[in-house]
Amino acid sequence: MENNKIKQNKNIKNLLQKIESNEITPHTKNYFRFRFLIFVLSLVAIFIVSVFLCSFIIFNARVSGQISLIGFGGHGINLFLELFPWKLFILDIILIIFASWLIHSFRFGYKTPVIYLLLGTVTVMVIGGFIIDKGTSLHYILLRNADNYNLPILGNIYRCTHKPLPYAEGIFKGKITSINGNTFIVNIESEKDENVSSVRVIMQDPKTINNEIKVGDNIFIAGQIVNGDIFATVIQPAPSLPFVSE
Amino acid sequence: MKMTETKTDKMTDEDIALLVQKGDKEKFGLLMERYENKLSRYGRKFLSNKESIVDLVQDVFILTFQNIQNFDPTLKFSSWIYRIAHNTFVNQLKKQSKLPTTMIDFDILLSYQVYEDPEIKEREEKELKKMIDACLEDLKPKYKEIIILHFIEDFSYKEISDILKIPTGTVGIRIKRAKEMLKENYQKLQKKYGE
Repeated sequence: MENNKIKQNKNIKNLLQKIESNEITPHTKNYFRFRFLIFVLSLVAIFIVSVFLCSFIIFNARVSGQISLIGFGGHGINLFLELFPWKLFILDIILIIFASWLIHSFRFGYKTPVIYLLLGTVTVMVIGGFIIDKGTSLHYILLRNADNYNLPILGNIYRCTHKPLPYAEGIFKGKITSINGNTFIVNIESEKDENVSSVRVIMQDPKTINNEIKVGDNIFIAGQIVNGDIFATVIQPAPSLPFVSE
Repeated sequence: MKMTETKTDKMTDEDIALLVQKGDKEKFGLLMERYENKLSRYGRKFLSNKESIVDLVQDVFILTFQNIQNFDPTLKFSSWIYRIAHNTFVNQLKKQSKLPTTMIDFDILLSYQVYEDPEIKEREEKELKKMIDACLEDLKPKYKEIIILHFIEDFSYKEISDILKIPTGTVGIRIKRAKEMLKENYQKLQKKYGE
């Protein structure tokens, strides 16, 4: 024990000698300022990308009309989930988790239980996403550039906004070209060959036809294909996409 | 000499750290003297391999000096240096493969309402000392450490929160669980040896 104490005192002296001879030097204040700056810039960059992704996901669901699929019951929900941009969503979740981990390094961060930190970060990202989507025309401008093949990297992602629905899945999207009682002639895009097919859509229950639907409107149709015609159970308006090439 | 020694004895750790930040490297020796035994005790209790403690404490002091410009003198120096010591000892445990390289602590996910009561601490101290002496080694590192910091090093929940970078509620819940485990192990030990 005594030897240990002597060894410890000797170690202090040795260490102090190394400090005074500059063999061991402290990092400068600028080193920590620079590190903090990188940290903050990383957090800001993650925040911007995450909010952008979140706002794009909201924009995509809205302008493609995919959000309307939820109103078609179980089948519509399945299709919505199938078309949902999962890769972007998972990337956004990873960014949110990473942002929360960075915030955890701060005093107010580690004092807060992780679940509240995550919820807080998600809330800020989602609110930011809604603000960008509803409050700005950023995505519309980018979509226009994408349609004109003037948007590198993100072009494909934006063009998927008006991707046709998978054909023969029981839910279709198209544009009305004529209406005759409970029969509609609809131009429906096929996902397979990207051609537009003119299809007769027969509403099974004429009483459920939405009177506001008119020629030229985009619609969603839930129904079954029988001998090339679609026997529809539900017809709902779908949003018209701006800048879509006809 | 005596007056200077008395003067430096009265200086707080934070004041000394501030002088070191301003360039008075010699004053760092004072901090080392003040913390050498404390950190050695902390390390000895926390780690099994007692021989490397002196070297590890040296590493802690080197890291402390190298990062001294990052210390905020408005906060407690003791929490800061113990944070560096905690990281150093945990890395040593990982090297010894006594800890997984990535640890997800599920008790930091949620909020807990556990309050520190100094009166309870005083009452339980005698009984707890017996249990700590007998059964501390049997505890998992995260519970062992919290017992060491609170009951041996005498840090408050708030200070431990700053050292371990976990919410104060989590500190309380870990102490509660650690005490339960100590009690359980102690009772088993008593049964085994018929005390």
